[in-house]
This record gives sequence, structure tokens and C-alpha cells, in this order.
Amino acid sequence: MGQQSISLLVLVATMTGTAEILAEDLEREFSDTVDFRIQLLEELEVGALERESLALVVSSTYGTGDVPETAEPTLQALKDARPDLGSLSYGIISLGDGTYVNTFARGGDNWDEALAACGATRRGEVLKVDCLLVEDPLEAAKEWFGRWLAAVADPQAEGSAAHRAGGSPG
Amino acid sequence: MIARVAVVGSGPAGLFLADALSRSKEPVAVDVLERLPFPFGLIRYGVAPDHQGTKAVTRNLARVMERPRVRFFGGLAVGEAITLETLRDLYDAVVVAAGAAGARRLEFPGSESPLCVTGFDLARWVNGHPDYEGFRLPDGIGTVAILGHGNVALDVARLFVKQPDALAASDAAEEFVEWRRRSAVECVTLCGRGTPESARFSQEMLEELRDLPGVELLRDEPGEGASSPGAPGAAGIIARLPEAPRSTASLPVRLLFGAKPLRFEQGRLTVDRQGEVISVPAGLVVQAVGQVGTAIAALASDATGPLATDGGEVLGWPGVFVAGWAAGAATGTIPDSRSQARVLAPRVLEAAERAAGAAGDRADLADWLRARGHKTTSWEDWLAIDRLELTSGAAIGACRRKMRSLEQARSAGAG
Repeated sequence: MGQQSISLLVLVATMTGTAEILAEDLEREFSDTVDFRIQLLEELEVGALERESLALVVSSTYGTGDVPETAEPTLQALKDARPDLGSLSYGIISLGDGTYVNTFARGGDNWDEALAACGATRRGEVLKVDCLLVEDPLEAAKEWFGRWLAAVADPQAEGSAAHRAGGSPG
Repeated sequence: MIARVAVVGSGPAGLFLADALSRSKEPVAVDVLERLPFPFGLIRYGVAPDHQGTKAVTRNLARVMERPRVRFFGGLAVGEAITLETLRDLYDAVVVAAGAAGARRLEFPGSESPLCVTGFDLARWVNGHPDYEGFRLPDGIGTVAILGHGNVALDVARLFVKQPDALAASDAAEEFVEWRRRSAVECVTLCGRGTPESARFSQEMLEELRDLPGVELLRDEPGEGASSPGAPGAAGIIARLPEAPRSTASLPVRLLFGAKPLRFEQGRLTVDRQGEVISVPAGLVVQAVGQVGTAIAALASDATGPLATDGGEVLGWPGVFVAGWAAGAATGTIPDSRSQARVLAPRVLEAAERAAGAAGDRADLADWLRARGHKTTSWEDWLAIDRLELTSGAAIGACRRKMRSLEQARSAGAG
């Protein structure tokens, strides 16, 4: 480890484990430079976020563009309790199924809106991954995550292009 | 001593339980026993073949099987090659997650006809289940009546009206795709007892059916108490559907509410809709009204409904737990099975660790099988079959071509 390790809280919202596996794979891939703390959003006490400075949300999408059912109460708690997240920067990786064109990967957008409403600042664009087209979400997320880390480390070097991995279903 | 747990069944309930168990801080050995040589149960044989996004959960479950101390024994039928009692001797805890025994069936005159089938059977045939090699539907049925207003009914309707070319690109059984090419379907009616509000359709699956090219989804509601177009979810979508087709060229799929089947004869299903007798064209009737029972006969009882358990542990069977549809209440989605596994796993572990502390050395299943000359498939065997299915699918423009048997897999070059 040549440089100081970045402490990152990874918040996972998952239906069938895909988002959790992606978080674990990113941890394995970047463990040299990042100290990962993986936490399921369904088990998060939202007030604890006030003490955090950097978080990555990895969320799947359920139903008609919703967050996973198990994490829905946490999303509601964020909206109701409105913790002061003025010192929190965050990134979002949103997983979806391109079969559902109208609501593709909207799960992550819900977290984005709720966190922003609490005063947190999103860094980088939301990464949307189509799990129907991408064999391994890690391949799609690795490059984005590397750029996101660089942007977080250097506030001047923010990437701007909207990003979608796995191409367009049509 | 490391606690040893047997999980019977490799569908979502079994493998999410293996996931939750193998994530525990205390080391635990988990053996997954599957009746078929191939894993994944409902995901491989119950989820519609054109829903590959849903089937992609197999990638997550495959990761579980790669963990140390997790083993796969395919082609091992509990109740036949090995009894539940023997498993109790070999393991500190046993979890039965072998699915439901079969489809729930409504009985009415004509329901015993070979042209009255179940969505359970149809899904397995369409998915190339080894038990359904002899299953056939006659050509030229023309019209289909589906009983049930849930997502399985929507799957069945979609499989009958979707373009055969679109199905051919999936991993649907070739016999089914060929049958669809030969047998034009002119009209489909989904009959449910309830109202749009009580229907169990998910919104996204209803929209998927509505938006299929060449299909017009129609509603047929009793005049009184019709649903409100502003209602949330599926009920609102139903309320906004037309009642009559806009084009004669399209294939009508009609949602009929408040309808109870009376009899099935000569291509017509007669239903009672709140006192009014209606005749629905039905060359084929498909019952999609749920599943019942437990696939493992030793646990089956005459009583309908869920098995009696104490926190998932079957009464009268200490150390034996049930999960998923095998628990007798055959409802719940794939994500539900993950949530339920996270609740059940600590209880199973606690029981297994208690039993492991009290028990002496137990024989290993692999040795037990070897001593009796039973051959099973390992996870490595499955991975070879998996690769073979993908490459032979690609050769015919399908995402996968399923093997029906080990013999077929071997002659095609696996193992």
C-alpha cells in the first residue's frame, strides 16, 4: 500500500444478491487503496449517515423502477427523518433489467434524490448497469469506480458524461 | 467440530439458504442435494424462458456453490436413493427446500380432460424439464382460457401470444417453439374470480403483456363497481384498458373478472360471472391457481396449507427444517426466498451446532454414496454441462439449449 487508504461506506440494496456480490467484488478489486465497509441498506439506521463523509450506494431496481422492497423502509426513513448529510459525498451504481425499458435501473435514482434532499453531494454520474446484457456487473463497474475514486480524491477532476454500461436494449 | 447441514433442493429457497449459511462467521459445511442432475429448480424450470433477466440470479447462486465447504450432489433423490431418516443420521441439521408437490387444481366437469392442463406443467414443459419429455399439446387448439389472475397466468398468456421467433432466441424447449410455429392462437382469455383490485398481477408484467407487438389486452368487467382509471398499480392499468379490440388484425387477450368455471366441453369453457352464464372459447384450458404440498413425500400430510413448524423446524422431525414452497404455503417470489433464508439460517445453524456438539463422528455423504455405488453429479460436472448448453444454444440462435439427461450431456461431449 503506497498511499493512504480511503475509507468508504458501501450501502447495498439488493433483491437477489447481485448488488451485494458487486460490492464484494469491488472490495476484492480495490482493497489496496480503499477500506470498504459494506452495509445492507435494509439494516441501516439513517441517523448514522450524519457521521459519514463518503458513501457508495449499490442498488438494484424492483417492480416499476422502485428500490428493493426490503430497503423501502430505509428510503422512507431518509425522507421522513431528513438527517443532516451536509458533509456526505456519495456515488451511485444502479442495477436494472433492460426488459423493463420504461423504468430501467431507476432504483438508484430514488437513493440519489433522497440523499440529495438531505444535503449530501453526489460525485460523478449515476452508473446504470443492464444486468440482462452484462455478463458480469464488475466488468462494467470497475472502470467507472476507478474514475469515481479519482474524482473523489480530486474535486477538480469530475467526470461529466452520463454513463450506461451494457449498451441500449433498443 | 464443524457443523454439517444438508439442504435438499437447489432452487432459490435451497441455494439462498446455502448462501446465508455459508456466510456465517462460524464455519459450517453445507451439502446441497438435488433430485435432478442439474441445479436451480424453479429458476431453470419455472421462470418463463423469455425472462432471462430473472434467470440471471443463477450467476449469484453459482457463486455460493463455489465457496469452500459447499458441495453439490446432483441426481440424488431424497426419498428414493436416500431417505430423510438417513440424512438425519449423516447431518447435524437438514433443510428441505425441494419445492411444491404439484399444481393446485380446480375441479369441475371437464377439468379431467387432457386439454385441461396446469401452468405448473406448462412452465416445466416449456423450460425443457426432464420429467416432461413426453408432454405434448395437440396442434391447432386455436383458443386458450387461463384460470387465475396472477403472474403465472400472465406468463402462460405471454408464451401463447409472443412471436415464436422471439421465443426461439430464449432457452425455451425446441418442441414448444415448434409447436407454437405450427399452432396459431387466435384468442386468449384470463378468467379470475376476483376484481381488478384483488388480482395478483404485477404491474410490470401486465404492461409487458399489454405492450407485446400484435397483441391487444382487453378488460371484461361486470358493469357494477368497475375499477378506477386513477387506481395505483395493476388495477389502474386494467381500468385504462379498452373493452373492445381497436384492430381486427390484432390478437385479443381478454381479462375476465368475477368468473367461476362451471364446465369445460367441446372447445368452450362455461363460466358463472355473478349469476350470468358466459361461454369462453377454449381449445385448451390452463389452470394457474397456485401450487400445493411438499415435494418430499415423508413430510407430506393430508392437511392442506402450511406444514406445522416451530420457527421453520418441522414438528415431529427434530433437526429438520423446511424452506420455500416445500413449507406447504406455495407462495412467495425469488427475492422473498432470499429474505426468508436470512431469517431461517441462524436458527438452522444454532440447531446444527448444538447437534454437532452432542453427536460423535458422522459418516460423510460422499462415502455413504460410494459404498452403495450411487453416482451423483458434482458442481464441476454441472459447470461442464453449463458450458455445453451455452455453446450448443449459440449454434441454433438460442441463449441456451438445455440438456434433458446426463446421457444426452455425455453424448454431446460433457463429462
